[in-house]
Amino acid sequence: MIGDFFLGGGLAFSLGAMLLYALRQEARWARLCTLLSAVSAVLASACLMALIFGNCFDIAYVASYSSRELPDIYKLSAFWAGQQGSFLLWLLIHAAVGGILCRENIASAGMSAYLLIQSLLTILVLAKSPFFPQEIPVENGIGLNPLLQDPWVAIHPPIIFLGYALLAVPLAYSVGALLQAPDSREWLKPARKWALIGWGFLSAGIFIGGYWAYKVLGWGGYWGWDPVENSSLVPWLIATVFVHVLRVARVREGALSMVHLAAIFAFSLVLYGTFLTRSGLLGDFSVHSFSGTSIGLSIAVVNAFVLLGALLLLTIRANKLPQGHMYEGFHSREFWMLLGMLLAVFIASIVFLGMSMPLFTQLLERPASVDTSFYLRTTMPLAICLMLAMTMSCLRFYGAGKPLPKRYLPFGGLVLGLVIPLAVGIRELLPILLAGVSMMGAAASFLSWRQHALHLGGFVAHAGVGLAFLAMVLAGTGSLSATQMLQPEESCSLFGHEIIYHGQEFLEDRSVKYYVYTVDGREAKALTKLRGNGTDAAREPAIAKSLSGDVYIAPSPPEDYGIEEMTLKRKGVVMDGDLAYRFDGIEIFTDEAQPSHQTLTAQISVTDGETVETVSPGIRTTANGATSSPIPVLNGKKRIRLTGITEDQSKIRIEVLPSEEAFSRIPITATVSTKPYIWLLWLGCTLVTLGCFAAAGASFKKM
Amino acid sequence: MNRKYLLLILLLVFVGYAGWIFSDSVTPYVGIAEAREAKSNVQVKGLLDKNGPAPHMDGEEFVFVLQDEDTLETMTVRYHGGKPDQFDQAHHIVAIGKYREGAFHADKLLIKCPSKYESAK
Repeated sequence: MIGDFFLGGGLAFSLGAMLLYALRQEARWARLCTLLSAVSAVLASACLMALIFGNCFDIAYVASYSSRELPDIYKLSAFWAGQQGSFLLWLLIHAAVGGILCRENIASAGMSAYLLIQSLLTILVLAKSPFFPQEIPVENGIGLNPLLQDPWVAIHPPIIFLGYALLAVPLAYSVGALLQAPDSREWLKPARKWALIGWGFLSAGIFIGGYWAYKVLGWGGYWGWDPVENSSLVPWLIATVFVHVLRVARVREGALSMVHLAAIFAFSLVLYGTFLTRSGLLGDFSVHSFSGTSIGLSIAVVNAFVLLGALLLLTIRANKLPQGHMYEGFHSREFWMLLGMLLAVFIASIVFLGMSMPLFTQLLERPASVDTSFYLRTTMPLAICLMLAMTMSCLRFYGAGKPLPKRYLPFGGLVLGLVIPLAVGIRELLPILLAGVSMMGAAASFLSWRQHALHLGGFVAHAGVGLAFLAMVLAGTGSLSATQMLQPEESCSLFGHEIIYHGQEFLEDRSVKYYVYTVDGREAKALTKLRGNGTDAAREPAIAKSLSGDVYIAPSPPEDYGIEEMTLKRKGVVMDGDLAYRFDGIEIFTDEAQPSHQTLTAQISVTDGETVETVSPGIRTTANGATSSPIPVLNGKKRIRLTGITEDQSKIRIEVLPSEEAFSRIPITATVSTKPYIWLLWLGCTLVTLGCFAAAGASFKKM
Repeated sequence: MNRKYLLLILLLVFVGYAGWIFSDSVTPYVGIAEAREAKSNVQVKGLLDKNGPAPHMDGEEFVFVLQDEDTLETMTVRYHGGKPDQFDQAHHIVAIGKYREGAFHADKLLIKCPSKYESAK
């Protein structure tokens, strides 16, 4: 395939550029090779894009994730819907950034390391190429999972991968510095700029993922401590440490070794997370079910290679690094920052341990995992200490000096943060403390900004963290939940909210139905996407939003669909209640243009004793399987769906469904929960991301 | 120096605390026979027993029969909550909870659909 050809070319160029940089040959040629490798990655990606948009289902990847009917916007996201495509996307971003990076003042050894990673990524893509042909030809693809057909999750992977890929840049700077100028601190500024951008994208990606889980998946929350979620949280935490220690190292030479360590671990953990989630090892432990074949081993090898190689380099060059104190007394900002970073590393280690349990225990042949309470109980005390350290560092200057004046402001924040959860009705000590100290931190960052001790970006991001923690306490600990049977049009009072279920509402083209509720007089609809045969494909929750928080009604199908199955013999009559059914005969239609497309219909007469009606429900078979839809009889009183025919055509199986009217009035069991002030979480997360990009922007200006 | 020791002690206290919670929250992966005996939370993987009573709601609990893939043993599972999304397309079901009074009381169900994110191979 031409795509593989571009990938192979890209690999050759990146290996060539790597060697040229390593031999410190003329930079012009090395740069040209780097640019050519980036062009190859762009062309390979364009190839896959063209195959998807051209409906080339003779390619296995296209057949698995796209289909003719898929809207264009989701064809775009089909690009990264699967494993191979997402690696190609990663490679594309990595290579494109490489094209920018080679124009910067980066050590040639660093560029060499960056291109080595790029070559490894290319090998990973080639190992299980997205351009692999489909073995059995199909006329249409399977299409994208309906759960993934949502704008939020469509943009989630590229943003996460941007974050992943960009974290390789500071690693390249770090390796370059270790090899060529261990005592230099020149590289810290550009490295911090890239680290901030990468960290910002990673944050945005995680937040978007959480919002999608809340809005679409309907698991009941934005975060489930699922291994897949944790595997992005750990590198994010280490990247957080990284951007902070990069700042400390500008004033404290002694922190340089920690900068290198953080750079190495941030990127290695990205690889480790990818390995864990893509290897299929977690298949039985994660709701994300990446089961089946995988390239886990190759990722593990790349991961070990990057981690061990970089650590070995650091150990060898450690004595060349400048020595010195990491902080100047307990009243310096850097002391509290380092303490906070240590706490963040603790949190990361705990999450790392928890998410790796399935892997470790499988190696010991006693598979086990930890339940989610483990994460909450261990990280909450640490988060409280972390917020305290954040407050203290915001109130101090680098080096020895007096703390900021006007310290009553943070105390005001503390009191406010303690009172709000109490007012919402939370009576647990640790969550209340967490809310208190996080509001204290937010107030301290405000004070610090007013006193010119913190940039605007820093203030916005830290205030966002404080708000996010407060919201997690309010919407998490403060959430009430109950599973309740809801009868249509009957008012039900739960947690001070009046909830009425109105039944189901179908869209005209039958692609979507809604479960309609009113919560305190406002309408809230739960969307359910339907398959061609009318069964549920994906369910979303109903969310009634208000200033005091959301009422969240998790999706649940009606308990009893009222569907009856029956088998009819040819010319035999089956009675069911007031109605009688008779199977008269079968007709087969073949589509002349496409002989593999067949429609089989069964003639069935239905009578209620007064009128007789004959209907012909059918099964349509294509190369991709069979579909059948219900046909109304007797003015829609019942609906009949053909589900099976014996080979000798003597018997058929049908489903008798109640009328649409009756169907939509079936009572349902719903899990209703309150999410007090959850909008504060979206606000806090947005502030963290914005603050982060503002800080990155500011570091651009200073260059 | 004193402060350093204090930090060290605090660190040890925390590691001890984390270890304790850790041992408390480990949920091993077991077969149905073992699940019946287990004292703590466990995870059981199986298939829906098609011969047993149909999955249904009993009050606020969703009830179905889980069958061990290897031993073909069966066990009633009572899940506190509504019927999970995609239950009908389930390939495998993982129930997490504890066995008591003749049934497995699950706090969480993982529904494994082969086609959820990767196509069936």
